[in-house]
Amino acid sequence: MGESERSGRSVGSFIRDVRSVLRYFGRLEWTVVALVFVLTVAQVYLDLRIPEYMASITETLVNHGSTDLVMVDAWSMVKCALASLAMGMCITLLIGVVSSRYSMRLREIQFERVQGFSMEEMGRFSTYSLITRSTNDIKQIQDFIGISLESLMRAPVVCGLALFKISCSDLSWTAVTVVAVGLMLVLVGCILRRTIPGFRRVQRLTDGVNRVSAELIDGIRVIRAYNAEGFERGRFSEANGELTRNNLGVYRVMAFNVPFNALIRNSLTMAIYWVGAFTIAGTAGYEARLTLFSDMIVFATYSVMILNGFRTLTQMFNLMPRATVASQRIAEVIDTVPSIVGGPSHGDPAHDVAVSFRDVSFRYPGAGSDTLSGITFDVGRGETVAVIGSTGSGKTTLVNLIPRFYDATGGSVEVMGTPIGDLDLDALRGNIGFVSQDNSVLSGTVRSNVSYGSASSSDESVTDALRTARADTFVEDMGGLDSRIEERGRNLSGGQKQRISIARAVHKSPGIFVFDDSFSALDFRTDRDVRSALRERFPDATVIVVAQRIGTVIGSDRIVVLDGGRIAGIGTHDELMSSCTVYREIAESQIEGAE
Amino acid sequence: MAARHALMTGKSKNPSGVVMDRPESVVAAWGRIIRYMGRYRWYMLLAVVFAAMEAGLSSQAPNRISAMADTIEAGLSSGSIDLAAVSWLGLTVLLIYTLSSTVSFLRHRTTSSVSQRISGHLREDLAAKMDRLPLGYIDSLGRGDLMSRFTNDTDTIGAALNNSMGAFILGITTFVMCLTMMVLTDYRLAFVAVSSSLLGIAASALIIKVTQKYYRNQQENIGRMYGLVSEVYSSKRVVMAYCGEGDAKGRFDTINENLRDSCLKSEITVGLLPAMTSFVGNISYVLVCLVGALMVLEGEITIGVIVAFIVYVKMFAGPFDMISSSISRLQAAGAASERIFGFLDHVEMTPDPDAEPVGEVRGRVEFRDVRFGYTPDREIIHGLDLVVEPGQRVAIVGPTGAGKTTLVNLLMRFYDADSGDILVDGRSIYTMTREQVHDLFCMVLQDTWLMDGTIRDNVAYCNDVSDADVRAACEAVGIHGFVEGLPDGYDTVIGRDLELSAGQRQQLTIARAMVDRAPMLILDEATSSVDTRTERRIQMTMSGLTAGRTSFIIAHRLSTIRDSDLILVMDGGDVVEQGTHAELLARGGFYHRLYHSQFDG
Repeated sequence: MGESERSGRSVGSFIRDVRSVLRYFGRLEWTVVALVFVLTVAQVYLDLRIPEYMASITETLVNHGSTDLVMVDAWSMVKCALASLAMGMCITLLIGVVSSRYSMRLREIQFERVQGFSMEEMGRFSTYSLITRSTNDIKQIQDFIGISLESLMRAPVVCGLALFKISCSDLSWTAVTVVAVGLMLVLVGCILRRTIPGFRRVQRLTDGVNRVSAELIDGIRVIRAYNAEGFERGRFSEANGELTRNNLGVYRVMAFNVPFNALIRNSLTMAIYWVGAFTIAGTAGYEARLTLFSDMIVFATYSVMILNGFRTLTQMFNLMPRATVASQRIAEVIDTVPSIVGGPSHGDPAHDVAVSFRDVSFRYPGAGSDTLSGITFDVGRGETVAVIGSTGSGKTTLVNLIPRFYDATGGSVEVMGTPIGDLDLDALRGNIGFVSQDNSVLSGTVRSNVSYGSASSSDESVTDALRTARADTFVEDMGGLDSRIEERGRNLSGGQKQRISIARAVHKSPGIFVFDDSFSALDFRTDRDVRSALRERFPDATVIVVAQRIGTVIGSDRIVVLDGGRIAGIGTHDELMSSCTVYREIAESQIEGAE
Repeated sequence: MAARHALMTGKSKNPSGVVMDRPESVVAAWGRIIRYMGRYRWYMLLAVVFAAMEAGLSSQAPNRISAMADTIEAGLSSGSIDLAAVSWLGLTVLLIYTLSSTVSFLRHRTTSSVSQRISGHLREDLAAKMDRLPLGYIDSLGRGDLMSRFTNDTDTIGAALNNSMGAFILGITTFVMCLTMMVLTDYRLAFVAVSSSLLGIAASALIIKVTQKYYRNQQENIGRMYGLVSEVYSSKRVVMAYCGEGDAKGRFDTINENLRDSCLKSEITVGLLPAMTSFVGNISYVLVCLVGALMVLEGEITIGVIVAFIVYVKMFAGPFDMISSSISRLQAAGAASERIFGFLDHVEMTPDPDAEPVGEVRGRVEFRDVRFGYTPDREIIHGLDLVVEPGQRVAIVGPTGAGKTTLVNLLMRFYDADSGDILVDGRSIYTMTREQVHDLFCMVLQDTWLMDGTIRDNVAYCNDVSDADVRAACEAVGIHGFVEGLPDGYDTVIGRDLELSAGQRQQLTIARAMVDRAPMLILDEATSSVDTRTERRIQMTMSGLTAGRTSFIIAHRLSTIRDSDLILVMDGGDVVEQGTHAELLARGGFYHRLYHSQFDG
């Protein structure tokens, strides 16, 4: 998902970049932009009026006019300044509204899109990158709009109006101004050409620093245990050094921007007087010379304004590359069509066969071979089916197909008598109590975790679920249903997290339970207690349980043995003991030691 | 010991206390940034010198331009303009501007280098600080919050410095230079020009003060957004499985709207500043024109003086314009530096003593009346006494939450005991450096963290290990065949090219521990997700590995622990039973019940 490396040299691509940043502007945004434009024109007009009064004052002075005349002009200048201030404030207000609202909408659009992603899309972007895209990248765009939108409009307006004002004046001055504008454009062009690739790298290298700092945080125990602080710091310094070096290079080139813009701008004033001197010297008649003289002073002011307009544009160019890259990254997310969408059917929860696999195969995106192949078996309603097999045999992958975290790449999966693709996603997932291997708990309270996704969170229902999952005692010790659970359940042990996750599934009272190795961190007694409490409470529920321990699977109606992504045997414990070598080996490895 | 216990008060800190909320702290935080720049004082001095030269040079230009205007004006009535004088002045001005731009370029280059180096240094210091902080504090910070300090906050400071450091330096020097030139040219007009500007500065200071709280709100809301999004995305399976999309959207919308509001408030209030400064600029322009015109009428000054002052006023306003337009970045940087220095200033772990080297380790481990709680109000381990003889294989069993992992945390000095002592071969581990303690053990943890890198890099990790050793370790944990089957083999990048199952991750963490040779061994639920056949194979290798080495094994599978020399049965933070498998079974107590639940399923 690398950023496309197209360069922003031509005007065409500049316009394309701006459009890509603003692609989700709605009617309200465009209306406000139009309003801002009108206000900007008015404000610039007022700002340009002020020097005109100065010209009039100059004439008064040269003619030795009265104090009253000067006062009239000065008062008009104050009025213009006040009106300009009012306009400026309105513009600020409007732009603030647009940039904050637009970034809110972008965040929302993107968040909703990601909500619709399946695990495949999550894997394709990587969770980490999606987080950056939802926060940092949007901030870049918000800053860009907040800071640049005004200058983007002001620059052409100022230039246009100022050019209009001075076009009737002497041609040689206009020529000097045009030369200065040309020089400035060349300068900006050269700087942009040198820096845009560097700015594009900034975002990628920042990702690198992000990744390594995540490593420092997540791996802190391992790092300390291995005395690997120096090793990790080396990795960090490498990423950090690369980012810093890149930034140094880019900003060194940027250092040309302001000083040489100033040189051109300042020299222009001087040049106008210089050229003016020759023009005036070549003109006959006092009146004509006087007009030229006051024109010259005004012209000098306007021409500086024009160049100032270009200067604000160049400031905008500083933000442009990062905002463009950010908007491309956001667009990648928003333009991704989720591969898994629900169908119209609600299935038949009373169907005899709860889950059915027909010659199912699965291959992870980009993988060289199938993780699952030729999987065929049914799970009847109310049945308990266990899945067992060695590490990497595809157990988790298999159960991930049931709630459609992924779609099978071959064969068909049916749930509640309906092909899984035809089922409404809420109807499908609403009837499955899935407990994943990583037993995620969410930050919040015990109550919010257990009642997650349910409409009700009454004391009774939550306590009940906790009791079934044998989590009631430690939750009481923690301080009750509303005790805090920290991010990633850091204040819970592995077994406690598993029981909270199990309670969550229980609270949902689904027709089908899927436990993906969710008893592994429980001691044997708790494991057994939880399973018998479950059976007691949900006698008719279908249970699919992935496990390592023979003790966990031994009482199941049927056991599916996976080996290298294929079914090595299906049957009861006793049947498999006599017919399935793989199963016998697993069982012996555990029972033998117990004797 | 006393110092060590004094440190413990650090863990009572409320995580939210990390965000300072005193209004003065922004000033303090900026003070910290400025002190931080101390290491670049020579660069900064150079920048000041460049700025002074620049301001000095460019302040020489306006009076020459005004001389040009005067020369022309003088020629208006007399009929002939002194073109040679005008040209000479023009050339001088051009030279002055060229020189000042060159100096200005050097200044920009210096300040931008300094600001980029400072944000790089801040990142480096944050990373270094990670190594010296107590685990309890790091755990108390949200992951997203901490990561955003590493990148967003340092980035914010770098961008703000880059934008405004030059403007500040130039602003101050220009202020002084311009003031001098203006006073020298005409002190009355100088007073008029400066007083209105000062008024503008005062107004800006007021706005900055009032708006800081909006910025703090904004940074906090960004942090909350980061936390929510990172949780919802990384718990995607739960969200999907429980149709939690609606709930997530509800929480998202609340934070999103709060964020919008705080952004709007800070942007609008701060956006008023440029409007204000440009107004102040206009007003001083008007005042100079008016007062100057009146003075010209009185015959006290020439028009050229007004022209010069118009240029001075613009020059004077320039740096303030730049500062005011970047004020929102400065405000955000203030809030960011509060967060960074809050972290950098946090109480560190007690420094390691000047420890004598650890000699040959026999592996006798003793706990003496050890008490410990993660928070002061809740003790987990209540006066534990325990002796493990050299070479013993110790299994720690007990129900979830009994304090097994806590024991490991204390042994590894991830946390320090509140009281009591832990001794290895009779020597307190608190008289060793943490590095020495870590070197005593090789360990496999419950959480199967792997770094971003290839399989080979992960197994070798920070050790200098040959490919053959890596391969041997992978064979021992039974993952070699799987790795060989991958298109890139040991060079496959985990996470990017390959999703590993929980069991495979455990296999790799065990392999990693195998290549790290240490006198003692800790296995905390190291094989819970590995299938039992693979586990047996690992154990066989391990028993070769653990022969003669003291080892601590936490496990739920009794098959993992039955051969241990000593089984510690823990419950509620205490060792309730200890002995061998046979002894404990015979006793018919807690262990007996645990054991028999295994096959009664």
